[in-house]
Amino acid sequence: MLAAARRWVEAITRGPLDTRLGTFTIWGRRSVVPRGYDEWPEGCDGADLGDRHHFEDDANARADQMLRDELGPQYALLARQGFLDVPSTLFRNTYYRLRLRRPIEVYKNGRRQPWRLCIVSMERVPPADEFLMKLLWLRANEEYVLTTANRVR
Amino acid sequence: MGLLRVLCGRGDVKVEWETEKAEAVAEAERIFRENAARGYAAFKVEESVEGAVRIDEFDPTAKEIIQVPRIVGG
Repeated sequence: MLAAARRWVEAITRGPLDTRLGTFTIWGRRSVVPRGYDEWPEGCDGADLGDRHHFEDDANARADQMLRDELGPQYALLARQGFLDVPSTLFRNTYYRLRLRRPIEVYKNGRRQPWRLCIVSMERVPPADEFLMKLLWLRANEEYVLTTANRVR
Repeated sequence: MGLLRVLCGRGDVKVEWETEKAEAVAEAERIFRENAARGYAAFKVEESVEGAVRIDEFDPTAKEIIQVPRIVGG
């Protein structure tokens, strides 16, 4: 018992940061809703946050234009490959893959983790705006995203 | 010239101000505070979103501020 406690303390005080933090639930909270890989018809949890993907055309167009303005040359990359990668500032060899209307995929050492991080806006916004929100939060406060998001499969 | 962009269901709402015009700055700050009171988070963007910084107070010297609704786990 004492030896086990000692090993636990050693595990969280030594080694790389991501190993240490892995002891805690920093990678989001586990979702209670089981889902397949592409079952995301209405946001992450199917919660009724309004008709999330059927905004007026001009709202979508404005959101898309804003995303284009903010991303600059990266917008073309997003349009071409369908995702953008954001390197982690907290963990080595880790990056987040952002896609429109999808939870955030996490890659460690080039391998996709079997779970994803799901965050949604409290107010309904067009998909392009939600993408930009995730990008801003990851860039400015990755830790907040990790502690707020639900971990989903 | 500063720019405040607020994300909402209509895409985004833009508010521009000239730093020399006190009235315009005050109006932009009023809108910023109103959104902040509703739980909106704010980010200061200077060159690109890559260098976005989270802010709590209105910065009249900022080139661009983006306010976004609160996020929750989904």
